[in-house]
Amino acid sequence: MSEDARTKSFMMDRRRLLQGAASMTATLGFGGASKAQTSEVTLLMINAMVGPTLKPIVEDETHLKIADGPYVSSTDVVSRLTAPGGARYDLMNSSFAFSAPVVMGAKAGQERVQAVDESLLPNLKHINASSKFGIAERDGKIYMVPSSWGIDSILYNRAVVPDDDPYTQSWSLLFEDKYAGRIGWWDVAHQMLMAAGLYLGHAKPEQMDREQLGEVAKFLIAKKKNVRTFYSTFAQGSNLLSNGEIDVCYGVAPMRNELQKRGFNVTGSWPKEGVLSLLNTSYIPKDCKNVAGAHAVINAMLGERYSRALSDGCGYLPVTESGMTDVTPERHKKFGYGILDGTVKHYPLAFPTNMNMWIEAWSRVKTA
Amino acid sequence: MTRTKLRGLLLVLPATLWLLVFSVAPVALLVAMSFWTSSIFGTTADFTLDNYKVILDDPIYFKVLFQTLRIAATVTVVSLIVSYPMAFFLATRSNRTKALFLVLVFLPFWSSYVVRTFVWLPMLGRTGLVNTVLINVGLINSPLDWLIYNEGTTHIGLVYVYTLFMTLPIYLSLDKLDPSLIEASADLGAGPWRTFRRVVLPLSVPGILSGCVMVFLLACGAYVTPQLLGGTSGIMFGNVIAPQYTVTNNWALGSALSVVLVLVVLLCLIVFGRKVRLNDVFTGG
Amino acid sequence: MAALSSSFSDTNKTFSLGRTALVIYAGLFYAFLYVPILLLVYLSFNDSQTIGLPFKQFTLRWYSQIFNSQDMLAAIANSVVLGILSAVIATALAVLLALGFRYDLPMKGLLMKIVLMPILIPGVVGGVIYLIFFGYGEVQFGLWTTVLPVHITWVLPFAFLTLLPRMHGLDRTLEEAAADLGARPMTVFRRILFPIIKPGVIATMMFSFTLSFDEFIRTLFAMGSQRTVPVHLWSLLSNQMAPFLPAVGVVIMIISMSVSLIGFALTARSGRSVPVDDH
Repeated sequence: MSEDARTKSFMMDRRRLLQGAASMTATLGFGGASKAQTSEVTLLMINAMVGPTLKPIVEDETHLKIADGPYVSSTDVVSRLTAPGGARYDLMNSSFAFSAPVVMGAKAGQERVQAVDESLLPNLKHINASSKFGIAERDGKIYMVPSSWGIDSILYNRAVVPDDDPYTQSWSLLFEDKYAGRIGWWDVAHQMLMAAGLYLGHAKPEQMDREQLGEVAKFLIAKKKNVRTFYSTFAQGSNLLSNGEIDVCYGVAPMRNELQKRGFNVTGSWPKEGVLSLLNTSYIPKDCKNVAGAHAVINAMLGERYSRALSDGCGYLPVTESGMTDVTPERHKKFGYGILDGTVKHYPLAFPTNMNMWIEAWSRVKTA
Repeated sequence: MTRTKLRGLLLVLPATLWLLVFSVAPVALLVAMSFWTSSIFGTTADFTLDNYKVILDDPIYFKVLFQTLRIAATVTVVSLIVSYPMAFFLATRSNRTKALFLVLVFLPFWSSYVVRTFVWLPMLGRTGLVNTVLINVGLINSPLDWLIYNEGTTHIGLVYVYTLFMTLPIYLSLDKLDPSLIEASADLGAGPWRTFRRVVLPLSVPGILSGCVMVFLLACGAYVTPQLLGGTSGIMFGNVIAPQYTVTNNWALGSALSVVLVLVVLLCLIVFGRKVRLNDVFTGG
Repeated sequence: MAALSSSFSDTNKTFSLGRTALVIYAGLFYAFLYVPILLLVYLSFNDSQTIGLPFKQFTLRWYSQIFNSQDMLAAIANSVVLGILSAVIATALAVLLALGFRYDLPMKGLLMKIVLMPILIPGVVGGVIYLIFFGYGEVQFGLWTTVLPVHITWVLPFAFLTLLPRMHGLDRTLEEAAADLGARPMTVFRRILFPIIKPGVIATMMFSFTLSFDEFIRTLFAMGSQRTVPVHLWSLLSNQMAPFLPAVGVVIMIISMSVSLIGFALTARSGRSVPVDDH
């Protein structure tokens, strides 16, 4: 054999060897992911949704072990559908409005996920009216199934910001000068620009054109001096708030939940311009290794036990009828159940008409 | 080919093959990808110059790039000034104690890089060590907000994290010094400062250069430190590249940005290397 | 080698002034290095939900939480094994490479540049190239499939640079004489070369282990679901409120130190009283 061919075959053998060794060591229990394929489901979703009180419910009802990967953002989740090398997860979950265009593809046959087998999802019929739009159907097949409602607003430290401060009733708390130096912004283009757009009075911020977007960016750049730091993940934001480094931040419901559970005196505001709402939906990537398991998880998350435990577990709202019954008035107020029955003003985080422009605008805000 | 030459080639073959596969090939793919087309929905191999166009047209990229180079250069200089006397100290210990002092310098670097960066939050934060001490001592009444989440903190963090890479090469250089040179200088009547300036310092230059290049390279690629400590103003180019892969899904632009960073950094090294042969730097002189 | 120390101990007035200043400076430098670390140790015993002062009360709960955490222990095991493997393989490749560099080869300059490439590629870029490379190569991301090669590649230039000055002066005639006398290459290596380069090799392996153990940014992009220590720390920072983080940092430090000190002791034992230019 020539030197080249010998080298090539050596390289191929090495790669095969490595892959073989990898699966061998995996089954040896080295490092953690040691369970056999059919009894484990790997998923990528907001980790709070399978937090310490919720994961046991799902594991118990599905008889499977749940391994949740590190969730960063909806964009990150969706990008894995289009990245080379496959999605690497059995089940994925992200915001419906944001993900549907990518997940469903432009037309029939371009879906990036597999259709669900409705016979494996008996709980599908329990989905409440407000959440039905999250069932993404095409040609009689379902591709995306809702799992929970998220609410984004402003978290603030009640020791520093009094509840009766009129700022707490508006997104102005996050932007204006009153609490300069005590504010934290989440480092995401979509949510921050949407909140700013709402605050500045745009009726449908997701349809902002280049000029309007530029104005919003200019506003944010002007207000950046009030910001102490950016944070990239829920936990980082929570840590900053709990340490007292910041007293006001763009907050998602799981952050508020976690902080309150640990005894921190923070709460979320209900801005008059509207809280930002999103519907988390699950979908099964094409290269899913445990399809039955993925279905079981989706079904469990539509079940009664999960729906009832959801708000206390992570601050999100259920998508099922059973989750809406027996809600006491204080819980109704605390968790914002008003979104489901229309008594709390909310604005859905819709997908921008030109996402690239939004990303660009946010980059400009960050680097200014 | 002679037998010795063949032996030489066979010796370097394994490592060379390894590097061709795991170093050269990935970089080549990166360069190729910088000419592809990306959207939020994915990347396709359609040739385009748009990525580079975006980088050249939009001022934010070069703004952050120059900020990065500036921070990296400052960090390098500060690191040098801070490390040189320490390296000198280490080199001048007696043989008995030298090992001990050396190990003491190494010890903090055996914690993880993430830890060494993160620890500056409880050091400089509002409820951090510095503020607590200053308040307890009575120098200030309320915590200083400006200690953290700005460019200055990024500098401190980077200097702290990469100190060893500067101290070590300088120490090795100084340690290799030929005794007879010092004696000769003293015999010729030069005082200690003169000996240092004329004999010791020039001979430690390889170590200085080695350290500077290492720290500069490491600082240019910084990602975690600016993100954790830099607040809204202390970001660096790594913080611009990474989101292209993790958030915006624009791999082509990310690759183009990466290529730009590598080229600019190499350019800096070449310009710097005109004064000195870079190969010598890396082989310790 | 004791040049500076001997000239330094001259009883000269200017020298002693300089000497005192230097010692004070060293003290300050050590303080700069250690205060943050000591703060970390202090905070690891702090019974508080936030990472920081004030010190509420003493507790060992964070440490017990660590030793009960499977993720943490798995990450440590991963990092240690990864470190050892990277060190051994990279050092082996580097030894061969450095030995080969003594010969007059064509395109040696180019080869040198290729060897230095992993160092010259700045951090984040060094990570994304593997995300792309392994992604398109359809290689499954995992500890031994992608992270190990990345670590070896990262460590290799450092190992090479550490060994090269030592190998540079090694006289080839000794090996060639042995070979002419009929000794096979393995024997030549084992009996003649290795004893000479052993201290350097051990030092290089120690250094390589440290580099691999500490490697974070490239691992972050090249990893699958199993974590190394730095990645685990980063994930604790980012994904959850982790008041036990300082304790984790301390545990990592102790493990890392232990392994390095063991290696250090091995070097000291192999014939050198002071490992002066072992790095």
